[in-house]
Amino acid sequence: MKKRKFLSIAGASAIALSSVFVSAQTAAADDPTDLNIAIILSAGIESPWDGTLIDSLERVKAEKPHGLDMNWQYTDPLWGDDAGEAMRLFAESGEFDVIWAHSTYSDQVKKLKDEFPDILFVVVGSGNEGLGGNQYWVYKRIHEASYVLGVMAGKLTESNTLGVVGTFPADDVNDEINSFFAGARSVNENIVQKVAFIESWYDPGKAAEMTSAQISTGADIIFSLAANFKPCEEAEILCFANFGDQHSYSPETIVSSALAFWDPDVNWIIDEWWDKQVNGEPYDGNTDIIWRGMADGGAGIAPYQALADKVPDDVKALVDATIAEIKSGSLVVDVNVKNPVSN
Amino acid sequence: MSELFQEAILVSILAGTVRIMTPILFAAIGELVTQRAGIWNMGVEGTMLMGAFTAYIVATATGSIWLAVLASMVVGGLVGLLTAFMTATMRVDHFITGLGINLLVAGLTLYWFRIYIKGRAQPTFDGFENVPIPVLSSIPWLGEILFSQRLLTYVAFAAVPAIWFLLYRTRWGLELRCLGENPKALDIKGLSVTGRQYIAVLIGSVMTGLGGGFLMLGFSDRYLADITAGRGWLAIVAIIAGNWLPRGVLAAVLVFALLESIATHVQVLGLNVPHQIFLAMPYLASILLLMGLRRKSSQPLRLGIPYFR
Repeated sequence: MKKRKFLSIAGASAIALSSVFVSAQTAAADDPTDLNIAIILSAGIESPWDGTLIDSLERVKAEKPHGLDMNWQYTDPLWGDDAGEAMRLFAESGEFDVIWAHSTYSDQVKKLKDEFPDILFVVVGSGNEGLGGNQYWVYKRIHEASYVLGVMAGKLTESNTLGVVGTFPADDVNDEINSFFAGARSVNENIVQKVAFIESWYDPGKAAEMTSAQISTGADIIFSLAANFKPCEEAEILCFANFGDQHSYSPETIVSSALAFWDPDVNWIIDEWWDKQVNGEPYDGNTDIIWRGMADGGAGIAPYQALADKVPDDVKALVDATIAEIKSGSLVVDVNVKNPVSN
Repeated sequence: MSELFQEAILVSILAGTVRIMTPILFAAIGELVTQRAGIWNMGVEGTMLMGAFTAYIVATATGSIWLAVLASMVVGGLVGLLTAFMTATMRVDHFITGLGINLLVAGLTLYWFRIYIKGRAQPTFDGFENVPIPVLSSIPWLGEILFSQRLLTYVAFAAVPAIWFLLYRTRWGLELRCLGENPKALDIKGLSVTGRQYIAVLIGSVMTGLGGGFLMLGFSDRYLADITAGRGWLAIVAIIAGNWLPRGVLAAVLVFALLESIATHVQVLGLNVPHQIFLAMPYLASILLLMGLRRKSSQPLRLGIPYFR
């Protein structure tokens, strides 16, 4: 009796296990193989902000996350209603799984997200509203990398005056500038800071004037977030850039750049989408900002390249040590988003 | 506030003023000729943008900034031809023509730019350097402010008396000003109104294209969409604020540039003054001037009104 009961239990278990295996095999066969992303750009593919996103997508694509074949299509810079209309066209086409709106677009997403619940919407950076649900909010802070550049600048300056030319005084711009000066002051308490905003995402004329004015007030190193390095070349001083490695634009002046890597953000979004598609997990977009720093692979600094000789070995060692401390968590760079001013 | 009056800062403010003036002065003094001929060209922003874009393409493709300067002038002239065809030949409303040209150029330049750069590795170029004038550049203060500028800056300042001479000391200039006041008088004399309007628009547009070219070649090493950032509109405001007179236009551009330069330095020096006030001042000053000059306005009577025989 006992033997018969054992056999029946074993048989039932085998049947159950095999059915689970078969259903699992069926689910695997039904798993998505493609991920199609529509991207709304804000500044243009050649800008460091947008260009670094495409760089990251290409790196992630090569890794084939979840075995997915990733494809994307991006727009020219679009804002406001135009961006909203483009998002609607992408959504209605039925061809896109993710709509990645690479700046402040939550107003536009708000009008679409409930109408297209299967699409995962992404908005990026400051000025957005955390809507949750199928809207995810990616935030990028490169303040740690800026802090490291500040350490370098604090050691390299001879006049003890550092200049920063910013775009708009926004939350995720101010954090870079404040961290740069914090880094400089951590190694040089006599630092005088000069700050100017061009009040535009791009205006080379204004950026040139701001940089020239800072140089005339004694700044001998400029951290330019406005991507015009001509005044640095004319004054023969060193510059830092941000978001992308811009060394090639001014090989004689740009020592390094604070870099943004979107790879962990892209992987996060893909995982969230995958969970919904494969495991049926509902979208649960964040309503508060989430950012990934140097320890998570979300930020870094560019190599010195042709200007390696301009940075003494002890400064290089200090920079490496600072990066290691930040990555290990023993050094926490405060996020300071107060509007920076000159002193 | 006293920091603004330190010697080095003052020199920096004034040298910056001269730099900022250059592209706007080219456009404003050129468009003054166009407006004195009765054509209200609202497409200055677009013409300037086309000049800047063309300068970028030619500079990066050939490596020659002088070829780029020439190309920006030629393309400015071509945009001017379109403007003249629409306003003088087709007699389309001047404002609609100008706004249409601005939109057309904004779209075309963006489209061509994307085709040209083919990806993210945007080519750059070496633009104009400062050209200190021997002896004069050694003069304390003035040397750095006036005589250590880009070569085209000197050309822009030389263009002001040249245009004044053309408008006020030549028969052709008299006829051109007559176009803006009473084109019928010329027509009755058997002189071509349309032909003269074409030439006036061409002069303005070539100089505006040159202003755009300078903006590109003198201030930056790469192009981005809408690089002119409203400077074309500022040129139009300068003509109005300058009461359609060469010296007035020069003064208006000087004041606008000075305000921008002060705004820049106010920020850099960390003075407790909202710098945006200085950026808004040119427009505020123009409105006030327009109100004040209503009785003494030198605005051409037939400005913006298509001429029908």
